[in-house]
Order: sequence, then C-alpha cells, then structure tokens
Amino acid sequence: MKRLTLRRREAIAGVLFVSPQILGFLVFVLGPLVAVLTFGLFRWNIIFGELDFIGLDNYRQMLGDPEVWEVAVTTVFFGFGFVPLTVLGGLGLAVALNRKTKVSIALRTAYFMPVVVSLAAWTIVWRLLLQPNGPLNALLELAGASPIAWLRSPTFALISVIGVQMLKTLGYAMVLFLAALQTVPRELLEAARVDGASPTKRFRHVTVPLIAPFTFMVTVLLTIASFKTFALIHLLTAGGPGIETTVMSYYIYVQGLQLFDMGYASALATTLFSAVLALTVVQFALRRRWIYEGR
Amino acid sequence: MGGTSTTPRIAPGRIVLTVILVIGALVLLLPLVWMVSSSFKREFDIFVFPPEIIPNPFHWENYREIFEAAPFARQYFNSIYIGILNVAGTVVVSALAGYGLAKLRFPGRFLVLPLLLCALLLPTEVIIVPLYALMSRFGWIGTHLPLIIEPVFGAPSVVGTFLMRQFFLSIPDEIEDAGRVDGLGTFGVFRHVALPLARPALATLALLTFLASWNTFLEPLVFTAGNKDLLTLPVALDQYTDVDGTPFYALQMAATTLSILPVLGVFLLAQRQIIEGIARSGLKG
Repeated sequence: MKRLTLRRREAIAGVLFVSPQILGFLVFVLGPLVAVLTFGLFRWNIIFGELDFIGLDNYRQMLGDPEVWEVAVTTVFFGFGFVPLTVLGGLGLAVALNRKTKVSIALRTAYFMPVVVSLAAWTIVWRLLLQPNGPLNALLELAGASPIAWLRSPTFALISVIGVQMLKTLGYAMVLFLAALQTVPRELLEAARVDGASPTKRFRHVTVPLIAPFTFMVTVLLTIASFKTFALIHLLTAGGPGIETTVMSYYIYVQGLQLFDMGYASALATTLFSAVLALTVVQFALRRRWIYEGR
Repeated sequence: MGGTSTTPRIAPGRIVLTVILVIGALVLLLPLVWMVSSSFKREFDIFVFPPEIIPNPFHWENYREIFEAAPFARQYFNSIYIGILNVAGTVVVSALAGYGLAKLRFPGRFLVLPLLLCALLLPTEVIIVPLYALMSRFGWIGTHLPLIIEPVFGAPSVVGTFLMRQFFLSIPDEIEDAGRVDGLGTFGVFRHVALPLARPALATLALLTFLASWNTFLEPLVFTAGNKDLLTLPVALDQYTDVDGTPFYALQMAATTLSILPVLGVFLLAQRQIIEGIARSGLKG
C-alpha cells in the first residue's frame, strides 16, 4: 500500500513537473499546427472577419499558380545550394582545425563568431557589402573585374542569399563536426597509420564512417535550418528581383500576414510542413544504408 | 588549454593550409570590420572608391542620431528586459520538464519526448499565421506578451528541456536517494539536490536562451504590429530608411554595431559554454 502511494506520488509530481512545458507546447506549437492543417481548407481573413469552408480550393489555386511552382523551385534550389555546401565546409573546417594549437583555437573562434550574431544584423551588414557601388564590387573593380549585380540579377541574387546564409552557418556545422571528431578513437587512427594508410585514406575509411551518424544529424539540422530563412530573405532581397529569391517560408508570410489571405497561407504552410516532414522521414529511412555503407 | 605546438618541424602543407584558413577567417570577419568602420562615416563616404577601411575623419554623429531618429534606447531596453524574462522563464520551465522527463515515472512519459521533438522540426514560419491569430484572440498583438510567453512555454524552451533532460540523466540516482533519506520530497530533492548540481547546465541554458531571444526576428516583426516603441533590436535595425525604404547605411551600421557588441563580448567571455551547449543541444536534441 505504501509503495503504491509513493509511486502515485511520483506520477503526480512528474505530471506537474512537465505540465508547464506540455501546456505551452499544446497552445503554442501543436494547436497552431492543427490550425494550419485545418484552415488550409477555409477562406480566412481576420481583418474582414471572414471564415468560409471551401474544401480544397486553396490547394487547387496553389497547384494552378505558376508563381507557387517558382517559389517551390527556389526553395529547393536554396536547400540544395545551402545544405551540401555548409556540411562540406563545416566538415572541412572541423578536420583542419581539430588540433589544440593556439592558432587553431583562435581560428575556431573566428569562424564561429557569425553564429552568435543575429541573422538580421548579419544580413543588414551584407546588404551594404553587396550594393552595386558597395565594397565587394569595389574590390572586384580594383582586381580589374567588372562589377556584379549581386542582389538585382536573378542568378546572383539567389547565389547571394545562399552565400550569406552559408557564411553565417559554417561555424555552427564546424562545431558540430568538431564534437563528432572527438568521438573517433585515437587508437584506431593510430593503428591505421601504423598499417601504412595515408591521411586521406584514414580520413576516408576510418573517420568518415565513424562520424556518419553525426554527419546525418548535421544534415537533418541544416535541412530544417534551410527553411528558417525569413530574416535573410526579408532584409536582403525582400524576395526579389521579382520573386526570384522568394522561398516558401517567406511566401507564407507575404500571403498570410501582408495580404491577409490566411487560409491560402495555411495551405502553403501545410505543404511546406509536409515537405519538411517527408524530407526528414526520407533522411531517417536512408540513414541505415548511409551509415552502414562505409563499414 | 594546452599549446602543444612544440613539434620540431611543421610540414609545408600545414603552413599553406593555415594561410588559407586565416584568409578564410578574415573574409568571414571583414563584414563586421566594415560594419564598425562604416558606422563612423558619413553616408556618402561609405561608397567612396577606392573603399577606405579607416574612416577619415571619424564621425561620431551616427551614434547620436540613431537615438534621435528613433526610440532606439527604448528598443535596446526592450531587447534586454525581454531577454532577461525569457531566461528566467525558460530556466524554470526547462529545468522542471527536463527533470521530470529524466527522473520521474509518470503515465504517458514515453509519449512526451517524441511529441516535443516535433517542436524542434517545425519552422516557426509554418505556424506564424495561426500564432498571429491566437495572439490577436488573446488581445496580445501590440504588446510584449507574445515575445515573453511564447518562447518560455513554446518551441524555443523545448530545446532547453532536451538540454536539461540530458544533464539530469547524467546525475546518478544514488545522490538523489541520499536526499530522500534525509526526508526530502520529490520537489525538495529537485530543488536542493539536483538543481545545485545543474548550475553549469543552467548557466549554458541561460546563455543560449538570451542569445536566441536577443536574435529573434520574425516574432517581434509580426507581433509588435509596427509599433516602434515595442520593437526589439533585430527588427529595429532596419527602421533607419528614407520614406521609400532606402536604407541609411551609416545609421544602420551604427545601430547594428551597438546591437552586436554585447553579444560578441558575452561570446568571447563564455565561449566554451556557448559552443559546448550548442554542440550538445544540436546533436543530442
């Protein structure tokens, strides 16, 4: 009897301990998520106070709108540019700086610094650097090259937003990979060295397979991060020129909170969320093959 | 910190690599140097050709004008006090939830973790429209409440909960049992045994929470509904424009410099904790 009450007491305590977090999660995460899934089926505008059930009309409108397709393609391009570059760059930096010399430690600090700066501040500084008559073009001119319309040419605008985001995130990936590299047993690398394996071979056949689970996590984290680029797009290009750099997360904001077509924005958000979810599931499904491959 | 650079000879490849890495770091930090430099220039001096790194002469006016052209002091204060409240709230919510998930058995406990994981996968952009509707239903649009309540209880604190859970899992149960023998109840053990041990983890959590709050952009932009007095720094940086929205770069660089400096200062002081915290919450979250 006594034991039972003790256990019950612990259960009550446990529920009380987690309840603030759970309640907050229900109200501020799960509730809004369910709302997004639901209101995608409505014409919804809280300014005019309208809320009509319209079934799949929002989705029909979406699929029929070439603009949406363009935005989707831009979102994919952004992800495919940003994620692999940052993963490889971060891994490269981590391997190069994985030593305890003063120079390496100082360099790590330098590469990590942009991570703690707000994306808004980082973007505002880069917006200045990338102006037509800004310092970057001035350097190009000094080097004898012709200036580039970084933010106004469709191609370079996309390259610019990817680049600015990548430079900011490189240090984050580096830190995650540095943590991963600490898990590789020294003896294993030493044994491979004694067996005559070159540094490249040791990296390829010992380090890479051993840190594969971490590489996987970094890829997942950066994939999710690639959808969280609102401040970058809003401040650097406002989605332009035209809609060339409008990614889905920015398009949702424009439709829902600038044009107040909130039902339509919810349908777009549902689509984006489905894509994030599908991508994460696929990555987890591929995980086994990917991680065992090198062993 | 061991300087183990006492190897007799350094391979030439290493030197080349180091040079490349140093150049890379300079490229990465040059924008921040340019920011500071431009903040001391007049608007039309920023774009002179060839570009000048050292402002000549130094102009301090921008740092006065940002406070005159906008309620920048007020906005700065907003960022500070919202950050502090975020830290205070998140530390409580995450420590409690993290401890509950790590140490206490209650029905449904195995459901909670995967559910919370959702919050980490979900970009805020996806739910920003219903969040706006919710806050407006609460009557909180045009107040600071969404910027305090939502991060403390919603998705941002979930990261903290995972961090704290990870830490509490590493405390051996025996230590807590000792507290129980001394007659402490569950909350007593948490408060007087586990929490004091968790001080380093709590410090890391506080740092990361303050940084996250200081740097948030989308939520303040949406929830303050354009009221300049309510803005926090990241959104406020973009307010220095002419009527067409063309930036006054010199002012923006001055404001941005002031918004970044404390963050860089804290980072340089507490580098190890911040980096380890990010690595841990990133990888094991």
